[in-house]
Amino acid sequence: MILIRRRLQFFFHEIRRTLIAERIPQYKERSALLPGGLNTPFPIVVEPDIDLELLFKSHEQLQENLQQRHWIVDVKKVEHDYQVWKNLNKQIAEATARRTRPEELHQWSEQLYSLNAKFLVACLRLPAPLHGAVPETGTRKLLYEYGSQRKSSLTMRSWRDLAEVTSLDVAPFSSFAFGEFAQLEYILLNYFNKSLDAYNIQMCSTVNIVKSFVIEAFGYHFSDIKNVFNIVAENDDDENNVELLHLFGTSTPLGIVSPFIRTNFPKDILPYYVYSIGRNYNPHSGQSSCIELLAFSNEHSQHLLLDDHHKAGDERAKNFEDMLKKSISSSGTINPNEVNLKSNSIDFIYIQLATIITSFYHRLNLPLRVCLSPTYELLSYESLRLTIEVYLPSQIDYVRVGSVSLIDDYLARRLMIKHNSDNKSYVAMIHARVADVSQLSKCVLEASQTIGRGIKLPSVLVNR
Amino acid sequence: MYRVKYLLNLSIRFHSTLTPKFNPWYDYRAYLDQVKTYINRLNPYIELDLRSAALNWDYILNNENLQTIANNIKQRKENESVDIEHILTLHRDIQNLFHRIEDKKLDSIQGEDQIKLKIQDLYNHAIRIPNNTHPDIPIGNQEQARTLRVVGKKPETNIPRQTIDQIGQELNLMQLENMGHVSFRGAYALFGDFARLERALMYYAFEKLTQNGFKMVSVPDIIHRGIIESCGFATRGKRSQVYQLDYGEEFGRYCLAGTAEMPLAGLLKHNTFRKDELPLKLAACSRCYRAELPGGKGEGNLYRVHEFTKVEMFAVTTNDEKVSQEMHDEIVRIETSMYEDLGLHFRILDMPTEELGLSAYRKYDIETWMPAKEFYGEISSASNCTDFQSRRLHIKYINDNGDEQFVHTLNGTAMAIPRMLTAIIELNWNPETKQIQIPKPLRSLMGNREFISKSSSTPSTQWIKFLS
Repeated sequence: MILIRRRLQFFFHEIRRTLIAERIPQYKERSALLPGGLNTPFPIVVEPDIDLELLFKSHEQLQENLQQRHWIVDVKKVEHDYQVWKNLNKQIAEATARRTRPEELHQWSEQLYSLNAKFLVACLRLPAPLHGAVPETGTRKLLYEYGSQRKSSLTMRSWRDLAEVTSLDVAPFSSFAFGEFAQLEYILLNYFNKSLDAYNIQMCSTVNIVKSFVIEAFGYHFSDIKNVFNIVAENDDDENNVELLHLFGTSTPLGIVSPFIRTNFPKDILPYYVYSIGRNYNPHSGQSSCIELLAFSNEHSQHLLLDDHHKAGDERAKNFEDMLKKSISSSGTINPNEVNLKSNSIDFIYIQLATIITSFYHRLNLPLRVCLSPTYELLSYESLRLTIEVYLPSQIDYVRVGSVSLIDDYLARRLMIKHNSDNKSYVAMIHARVADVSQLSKCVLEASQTIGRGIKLPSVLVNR
Repeated sequence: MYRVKYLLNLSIRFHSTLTPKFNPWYDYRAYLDQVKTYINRLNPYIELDLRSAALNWDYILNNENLQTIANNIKQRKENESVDIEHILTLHRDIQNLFHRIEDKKLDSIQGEDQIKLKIQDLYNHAIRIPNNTHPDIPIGNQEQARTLRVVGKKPETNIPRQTIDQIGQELNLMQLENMGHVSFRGAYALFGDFARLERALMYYAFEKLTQNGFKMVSVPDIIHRGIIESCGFATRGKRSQVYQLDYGEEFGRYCLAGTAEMPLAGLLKHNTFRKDELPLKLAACSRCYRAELPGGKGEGNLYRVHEFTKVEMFAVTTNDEKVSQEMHDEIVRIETSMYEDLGLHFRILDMPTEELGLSAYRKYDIETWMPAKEFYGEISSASNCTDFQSRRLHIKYINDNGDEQFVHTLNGTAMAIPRMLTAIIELNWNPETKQIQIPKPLRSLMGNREFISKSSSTPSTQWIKFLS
């Protein structure tokens, strides 16, 4: 009986799902970034521009990149499509010059059109090239460690006991926090806010909800209802006119990049730094409060593994890693007035940002470690990621509270972020999660507990 | 008459050897208990631990209250679709069905199925009945709102003033144009000091609220639709302002909260307080998402937006109307003090019947003068929902006699950021010096500065007009 009921439930659920999918025409489309056809429900907002020649320059590097990221892609098939695509383009160009019969031209154009829909969309989804400093082994590479881990003891209480936190079925993606624990979140946000202001980094408050083409540029799929919070906004006048939007949060790279999509940076403004404070929504990790930073520059990374000349772990990449290590090690004594944020070298900016952000945690006097993430942990738009982790005694482990990711021009090419009014000058970008305050507040709470005297916050948090 | 019938019935039973027959008209109390049992068994939201609403059935199903309820529905324009007569017809149908089963005119299994369907129908209609209305509030539409108090002096209206978006563009601190291409229509981004001012207003509200005994709560923005509906907001239908998520198993199971009142009310579901724990005063800051209709040009670009930040107050009191009215007044007093300190000119209105939501018993709105567009715009709303929400969410307290009673819930806006930003920036903008004077209470939160002026650090990025 129970089995029949479950089957029936599943059956009705499937019917309901199909009916919804029917009503939302966007779900039938292949791509929002490169929409095809006349009746596509996605408007064309940007023109993605991938450097295909560079992408297919080295078969080995592409294969290696995909393998290390644990992606299963038939590289040979994509490369074959690339050759066909190239030939077709060549034939059309020649035919146009020769003024060939329109029927023949039309036939080639149709072939190219259908290939574009598959091949170019597939290329858009390929991951960013790896940075030379990405650990070759499948494990994290420890760059820096600070403070001693306080072991759990009988007198030590977990953040769950110290904080007033409740999880309810009314909101499965987040818990309710009360009183001082809720206030601690705002104290921490204020601390990072002030710390960033000391570096004259600009604050920005932007949108939490973005359109489908934006999430596609970041490697998410708009119909993936298990990994993305989709919003279906129905038009009051026309039931068939539905708009598909996605909830990610202002404190995600998607939210913070949104005011810069399809824009041109003026000549002298780069490098430019901007940060935002706000929500971060994720179906798996729930709702959290984060501070995100984005850096824009006009110089690209020198250490990306684009062709066979560049190799992982080569001398230049090693130098970069040593510089990064050295700079982070000195983060405890950093002076905001002495930090150079004017350089346009994206690799240098990466080192500076990693150092600045680590210094914020130093001042909190928490046991922390800084690691380089292995390739399989990288998201499709990341070329290199450094993670900052703080020790959480009740978990007997470090938890990730911050990160610095090199994006280079991966997103700029997909979302048309340019500089110099030049058609091909795409900006290079770095995204940093300055702090995941929801996670960090647990660490601060456990580290600040005293025996019988409540919570004693670090001195930097006491003065507002 | 009822008693006589009852006595007659008793006498028959006394002499009869047969088991007494249940008559839904004579044994009205027993019948009503049975109906309530059926209603309690309804499971409105399978995946949510929330029992069906404990509406005041004795009041709703009493014929004597028909006219009062009908008048109340009529006065609140929004709820014209609810028909109390239809509810009472369903009630009579159910009585008939009970009677026919007892008289063996209807098969008991078949009859029970029919009763269940009718009761479900009755529940679905009754749940849409609005809260009662305070007897003192004006009847009619917005025009009938009663001005209770006017604070501050209205700025001179003969000087043309710039709107927030014009000032934002001049100072290079706001982006409105083209944001609709990447997000909702009417989306905006704030930079530098405008973004700081947004946070300063938030922190200022927190400070004031904690000083007044409110406890901060960090709330989720994605909540189950059952909570939103229990708070008196429709999640489906054309008039709904709620965004439904298409996530996971069911479309619309989870929705985006339009105000922190929703998650705060949901947090308290199935809670019973001791009397000495009340009043409970909670405050939360949340990102609010609303499927608002685009406003007219007369309102400005930041007046009706699809997402914004808001600090909200939520209070729980005993079911004494005097006590909840006192709390309502306290909420308005806190709001007034905050806005007065920020130097705004505003008026407090006792809102008329047509302006009340489904849940409000009484509502006070605060409207401030929007200098550029020259109109009074709503910046705050405080509602006393009496037991409307607590009956749906089963929030109770134990009174002095040890009985469980439904609490009264109240809510009020402490700081609706975009509208406050509009009022403050437009009011304090000096077109000659090209500066905005920061209100005194916010200066300590803005690096002890007195003015906001043009920023060179915001890049004047240019929208790429043409695609190849």
